[in-house]
Amino acid sequence: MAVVIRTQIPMYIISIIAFILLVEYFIALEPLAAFRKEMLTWGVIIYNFVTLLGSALMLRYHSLRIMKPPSREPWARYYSIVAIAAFFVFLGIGWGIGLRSTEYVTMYMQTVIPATATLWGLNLIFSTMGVYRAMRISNLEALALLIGGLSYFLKEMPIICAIFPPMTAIGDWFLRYVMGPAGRVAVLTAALISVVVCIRTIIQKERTAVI
Amino acid sequence: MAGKEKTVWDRLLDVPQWAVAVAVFIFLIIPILRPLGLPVPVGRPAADYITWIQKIPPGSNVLFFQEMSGSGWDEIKGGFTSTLKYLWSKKINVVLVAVYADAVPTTLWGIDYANPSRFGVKYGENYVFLGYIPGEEVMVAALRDSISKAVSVDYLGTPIDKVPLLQKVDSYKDFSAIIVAFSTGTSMDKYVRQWYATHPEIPQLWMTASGNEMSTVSYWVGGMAKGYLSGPTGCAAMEVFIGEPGLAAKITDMKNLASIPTLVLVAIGNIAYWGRRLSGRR
Repeated sequence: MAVVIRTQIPMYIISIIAFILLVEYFIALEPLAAFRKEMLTWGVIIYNFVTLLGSALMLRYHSLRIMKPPSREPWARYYSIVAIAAFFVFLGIGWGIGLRSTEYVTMYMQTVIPATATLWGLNLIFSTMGVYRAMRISNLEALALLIGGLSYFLKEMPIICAIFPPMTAIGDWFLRYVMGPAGRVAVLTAALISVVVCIRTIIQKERTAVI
Repeated sequence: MAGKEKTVWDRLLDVPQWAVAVAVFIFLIIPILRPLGLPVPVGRPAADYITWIQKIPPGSNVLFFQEMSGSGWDEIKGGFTSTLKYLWSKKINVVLVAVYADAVPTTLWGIDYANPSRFGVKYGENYVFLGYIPGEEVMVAALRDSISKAVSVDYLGTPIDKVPLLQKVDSYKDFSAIIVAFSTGTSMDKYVRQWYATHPEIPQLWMTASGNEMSTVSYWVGGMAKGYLSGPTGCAAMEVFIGEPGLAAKITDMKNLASIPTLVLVAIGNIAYWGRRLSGRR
């Protein structure tokens, strides 16, 4: 019975609602449009609860790591302490003083933004090493990769475009006629896969939505 | 192979990571210590963005979806602030929405930096920030149909029936364009599905980090986005257009110099690879 409640009922709900929304997209009927608007509202409500659930799960995870850190990484509890402390500091200031307060905005802009920027900035070193090792003209495909990569790379460097102005047009050409079609193939592939997954979900062959 | 002496090609193919890190760091620091002020190239997508933003009639309304935070914010903050400055200078009303919770502080920072009072625009009359509205694509679709049904208050907690601008705008019919600062390589899909698919007559102008350009370009070529600003280079073009190079222009200097070690290493890698290959060693 528990399995039925956990899997079958949600699957039926998803199937019916998804099918109605799909029909509504193609057939303009007032009751269907009203149903869609109602579902959009409920979607927002559920989304909020999911966000709350995520926060609760995060607290639970880090609390367990503090009480019982992994045996291979006993210092992991200190990272979890910092994570939980940061969570409550942000929560306290956001709730106490206000999310639109200068204090909250300043705290966010002075901690989160620099931290994530540093994290991604460190990638520059690793991506430089990756490019150094990968972009070697060992065959035709590698040559094509190098030409395409360099054309975009040099276009993004204003100093190159200042020294050699046609570089902007060359880079734009590669972007528009080479990388654009390649990107389109990727987007189309992802879209087709999404259609297949959605249809499989509606006919209840795809259970990943509930498991 | 043990004990075989390394040739110069072997050494060039094995540059240590710490040397690369030091070189990158030095090149990054130079423009911070001494800004270079290099000219900013304007690519076609950025040129189209600027062309289309000029077509928005003064006094009309624009809906601005803001998703960016974190490191991506640094890439587009110049474009965000310069776009706001341009819109306000033309007395174009702006309704801003944060699509994700962590886009709220960055949006507030950006609005403050753009300094609306300088353009004589007032909150509630010429621009309004609805704050974070959860739901992502659900929210994007909901705002297209009716703002008043999707939200009841703005980010200050003011009921929307007390906000003058929101008495004039409610749905897609009231907007001349939408502007999107999106965060990931697939985020733009929801605006294409929910706005372009149903109302292609409403132009969409995008801005995003340069890493997302590969997936963005096909939408621009297809006409779904009339133009876009990609990373600091694109955003610097918008700053130069309004005559106030600043946030993005500084980053393009750093981008210039930080790319030099990469180019040098690519050249070294290929020279050493072919040198070793042609000298007979594998």
